[in-house]
Amino acid sequence: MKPENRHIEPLLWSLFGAGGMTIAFLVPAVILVVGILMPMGLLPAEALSYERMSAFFLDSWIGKLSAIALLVPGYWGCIHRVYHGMHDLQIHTNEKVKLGCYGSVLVLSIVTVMLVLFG
Amino acid sequence: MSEKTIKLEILRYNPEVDQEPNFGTFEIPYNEAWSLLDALEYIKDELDSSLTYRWSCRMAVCGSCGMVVNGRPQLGCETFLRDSYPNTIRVEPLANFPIEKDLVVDASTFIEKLEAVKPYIIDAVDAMEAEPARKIIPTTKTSLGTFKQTPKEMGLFKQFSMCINCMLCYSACPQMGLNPMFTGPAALAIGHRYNLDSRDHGTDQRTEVIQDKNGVWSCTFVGYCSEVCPKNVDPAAAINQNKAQGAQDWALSFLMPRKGEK
Amino acid sequence: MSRRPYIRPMPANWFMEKPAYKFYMLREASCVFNLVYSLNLFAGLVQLVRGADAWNGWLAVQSNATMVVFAVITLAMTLLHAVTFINMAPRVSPQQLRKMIPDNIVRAVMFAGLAAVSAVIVGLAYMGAF
Repeated sequence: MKPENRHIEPLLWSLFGAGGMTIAFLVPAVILVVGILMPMGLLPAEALSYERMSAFFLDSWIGKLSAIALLVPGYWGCIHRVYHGMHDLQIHTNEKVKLGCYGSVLVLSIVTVMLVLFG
Repeated sequence: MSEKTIKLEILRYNPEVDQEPNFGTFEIPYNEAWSLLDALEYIKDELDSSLTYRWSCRMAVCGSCGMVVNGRPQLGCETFLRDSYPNTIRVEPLANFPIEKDLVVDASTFIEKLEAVKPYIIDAVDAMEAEPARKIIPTTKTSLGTFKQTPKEMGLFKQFSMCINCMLCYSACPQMGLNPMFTGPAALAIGHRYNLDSRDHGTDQRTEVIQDKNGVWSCTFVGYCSEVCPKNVDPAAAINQNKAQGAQDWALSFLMPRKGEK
Repeated sequence: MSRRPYIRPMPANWFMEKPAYKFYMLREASCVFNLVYSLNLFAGLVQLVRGADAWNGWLAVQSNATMVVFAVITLAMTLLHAVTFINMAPRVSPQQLRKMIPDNIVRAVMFAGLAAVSAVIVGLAYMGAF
């Protein structure tokens, strides 16, 4: 590509692909555990206790990486479809709207990583 | 007992008279063996000689008789009255194209997009001459000899070479209607077909069009283009393979800046 | 004879015209549920960082009836996303790779992977192994 014709879509699409992957593979089980099994009392009482959850997601490296992998790519996957969905619904967008969409997800991603690493 | 009949509702537009297209209804004898094209021929011969439509081969090879039948883009020659009988068949020109007259659309934008992807083999000599910045090894075309290609090499792109330019995929694609600048399924699939051809050296020359915002990046993988394709070309796969390739090249361009200048 | 091509406007509700378009929009709409749910999970992370009381408050919200209904719908939408994503995935991979491994094998492996990953997550939660 000539430099003047280059655009950021390939990056945004890659992030969307990564998010599509994590939502497809990780999120169904997480919703099942957090949103359905736990409220219905089908999990042992201590399963999602503060001690266990904070020890795993905030103190262990594998837990920290899991939390980031579960959340961050998903934000990008969702916002990509939201942005393109606006085009599908013929809602007029411009560079500012685009910057707002992807920019807020960038901020959310940074905050998530900071919380997990230093929270 | 009266003969069986079938009704056709056809979107009519006469540019010399009509402000906008309107449906016209025709009732014709029902013949189980008739294709929709046969029915249109009957109407033109017996009922209304002004009915305008394109056709040629009658055997799903030429790609001329694409039209929207009961909401689905189809070839008139491959659609049979028996598929709908006894229901009325609703016939419209291909969506996402300006209507010239009745079922005939203006395909000139499609031809321009097709030309833009350079749908022909660009050999090594042409590729070198197109980019003087690169080392040109003095070569005559005849010294290249014949291009050998194994069945395996051909198998790589064969599916994408089956396109008959019938434009059903353009009619099927909502992104085409939302962004008329979109290069569109068939043209991008055909560009991909030449990029995958072992005899071709033109990938760099097609990149500007294929990787443009109005190229593969205007696609959202609705996938309906591949569903309606009469030749199973799967243009949606071709387009999205190019997104993956483009994403890879985008990342590589930071590691190897020269690559980005292609 | 004069040319006067007629351009049909794109209808505002074009996606209601065909089942294929409706299904596409449903697939795309799954992202709205996933976005809201990931914000919910983000809120959970914030509460976890804040401490035990905050975390238990978040857990209580998850047990709210409205929230459970939302979770069930989101799970259905997420599975729709997963199935469509896995069905599309091999078609996006390089043609050279597709010629080596048939699309359906790739899909089968991905579905098996989804089942395995899900079993591990649910299993670990059940055993309290986190």
